[in-house]
Amino acid sequence: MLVSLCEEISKARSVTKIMKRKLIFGGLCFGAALFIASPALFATGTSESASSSGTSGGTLSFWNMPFVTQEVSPDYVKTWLANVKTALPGYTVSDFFGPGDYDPLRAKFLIQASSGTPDVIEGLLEDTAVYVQKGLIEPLDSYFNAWADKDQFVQATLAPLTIDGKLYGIPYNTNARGLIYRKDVLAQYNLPVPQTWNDLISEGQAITKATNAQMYGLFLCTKVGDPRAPQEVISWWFQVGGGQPMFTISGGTKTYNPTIAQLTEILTLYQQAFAGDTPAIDPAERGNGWPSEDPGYTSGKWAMAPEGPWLWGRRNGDPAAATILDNSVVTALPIPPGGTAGTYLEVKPIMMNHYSKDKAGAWKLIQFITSKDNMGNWMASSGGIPARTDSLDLPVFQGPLGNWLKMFAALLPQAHAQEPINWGPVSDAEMHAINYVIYGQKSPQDAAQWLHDTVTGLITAGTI
Amino acid sequence: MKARFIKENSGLPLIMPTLVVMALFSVLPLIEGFRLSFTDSNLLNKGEHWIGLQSYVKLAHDPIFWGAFLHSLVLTASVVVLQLVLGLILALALKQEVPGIRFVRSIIMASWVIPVAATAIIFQFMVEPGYGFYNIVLHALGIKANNFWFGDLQLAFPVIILLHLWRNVPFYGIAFLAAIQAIPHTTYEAAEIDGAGPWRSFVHVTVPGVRNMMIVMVTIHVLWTFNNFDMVYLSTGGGPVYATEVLPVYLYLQAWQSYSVGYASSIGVVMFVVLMIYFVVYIRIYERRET
Repeated sequence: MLVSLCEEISKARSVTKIMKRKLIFGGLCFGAALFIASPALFATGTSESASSSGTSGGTLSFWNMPFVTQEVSPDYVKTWLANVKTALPGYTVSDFFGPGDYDPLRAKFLIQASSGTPDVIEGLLEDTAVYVQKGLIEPLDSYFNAWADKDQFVQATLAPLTIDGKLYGIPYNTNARGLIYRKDVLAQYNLPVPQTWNDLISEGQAITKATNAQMYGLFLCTKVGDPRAPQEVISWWFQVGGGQPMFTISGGTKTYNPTIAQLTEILTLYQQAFAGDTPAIDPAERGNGWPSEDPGYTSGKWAMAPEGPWLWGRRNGDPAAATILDNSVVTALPIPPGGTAGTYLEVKPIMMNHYSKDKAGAWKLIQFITSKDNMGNWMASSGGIPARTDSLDLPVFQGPLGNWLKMFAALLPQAHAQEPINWGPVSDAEMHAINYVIYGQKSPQDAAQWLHDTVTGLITAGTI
Repeated sequence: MKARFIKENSGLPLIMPTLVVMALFSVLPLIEGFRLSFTDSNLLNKGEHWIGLQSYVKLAHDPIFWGAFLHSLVLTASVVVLQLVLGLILALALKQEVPGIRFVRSIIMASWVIPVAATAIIFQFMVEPGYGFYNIVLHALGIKANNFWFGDLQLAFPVIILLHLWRNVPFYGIAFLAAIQAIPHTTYEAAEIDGAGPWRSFVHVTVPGVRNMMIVMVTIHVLWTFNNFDMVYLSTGGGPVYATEVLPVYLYLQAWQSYSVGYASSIGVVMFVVLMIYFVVYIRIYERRET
């Protein structure tokens, strides 16, 4: 076999000079063609922004998660695309809305923002701080202050998007975290609405015991990497810390405010929630997150959970879930002894790429997205609270949905937004500390010490 | 002289486009990765500074890194060995001409065709307490279990191994089946005439017949498993505590959560070196056996 192969190679080497020249020439031509074509090949990723250059019309791009994940219905997106054509004549808005999850959305924007695409991006509040630190998003004060609609925005939702005195995003979605509970279950077992953490644990245990663990009293997210879990932690922190921010930022210096004792108090809550013969939280749910929290509540697996208005969407096509939600009430999260009322304020911004080739067009697109009707209909479709007061006047917010959202809106005055830092590694450390406690690897005090050391280490390393 | 040079290098222009593409997309990022590992590069900070071996010194004292390193080694070794054994058993089973075997052969690769993200989501549901498939099966078998398996300190890592097996064993099975079918039937007949039973035929005919396929499968799966990120990240995120943390997930979190690109690059370099050592040793052993 090998010998015959060598013979073939030998034959091939004895081809005429003309043949060789042809081969060399062909190879060089192919190489040259690839070289010439390469700029065109590599430029395809930025073709959108290239075509959007110029001031009168062009292509605009808007990356956002909900349009991709169907957090809003595909029909809404279709209508949105039709409406934007009318609202922005001369412009074409791309129907590619980005990668569809916040992690890759952030990662791709960090890498490619300087290409000018996307022109406008939706994100989480914590993304804003990261983008500002990298200089990737445009301050919007001059645009916003000249906008007649500016007074319609809830001031509390603008404040967290203001970094170093500049407004870096227009809020479109807000909510406050509250405790949802089954009023029928609490009434059945003669339990009052929990006001304190002790109530929360003891009543949770009582429900577990009374139902012989057919229904557990409570659910808290404890999964590493779960986005909602650290939002629940920050709610507890605002209560323990008297509403002060977790980090103080002054002149570029960040200080971690929680003390070991305060962190111990929060971690003890998690330890107690899983403790006892009839624990408040199902031990089988240790290390689980929001994918279990929401369907678990609407399927009657637990009676109480910290939740947001998105739970409304679970009614669709599920009569059992609708019945459970009809029997549910949203109230303020219970507080620790000596604590103050407080909860996590979620604000989602619409931001403008600093490198957009058409900032005037990008602003028009932002105005369209955050207009009264569009913001209102978007929130009605996804179960959020619009950041504009006039959007709530839309007919779609009247009736049961309006009543549902009002329960969460009532909590907004006690809600606090997170500080503009890179929260990723902090959240990761918090969840690992909670895991240490609920899996019995460390005492709450030791885990609190570890958490404190880890976060202060992150500050020293400049990671956050 | 010129004619000789052209004669000896006539193939060079033909492979040049490939070399250029490889240089652009493989060699340059590799060199850049090495360079970054000696810097304090962070996506949040402007500029970067040369810090020498500081990232590697930090790695040496990082218990999470060592835990992830150990998990990566154990995961790779156990998954590749189990896949090899189970794949071979599956191939032998698929070789049997029994009713319905053609249908089984045609659908057996389904688990490999399904995207990893979908596989991870399927497993998320299958390991759920209450309505999860595994808990229902165990309950039916009279075993009292109702755990969220990905949230169990003892079970999360074995379930990750199971996830790899569920996905890859059929791929091994089909590959080995192809290799077995290429073994001439006369070889088995000769072995039978020489008095070899089924076991000796398997050891002395089948195994040597699929040996090259085994080498290919082990080689690529050591690489894939050691570098696998998505299965662990989508299933457990490295938790509970750090029970399933593996190097690719730790690298990702450093790069895209902490934005510490320099430190993440040092993890990548360690992974690269480990795999290179493995391949050098593996190829040496293979070549020695060949000679």
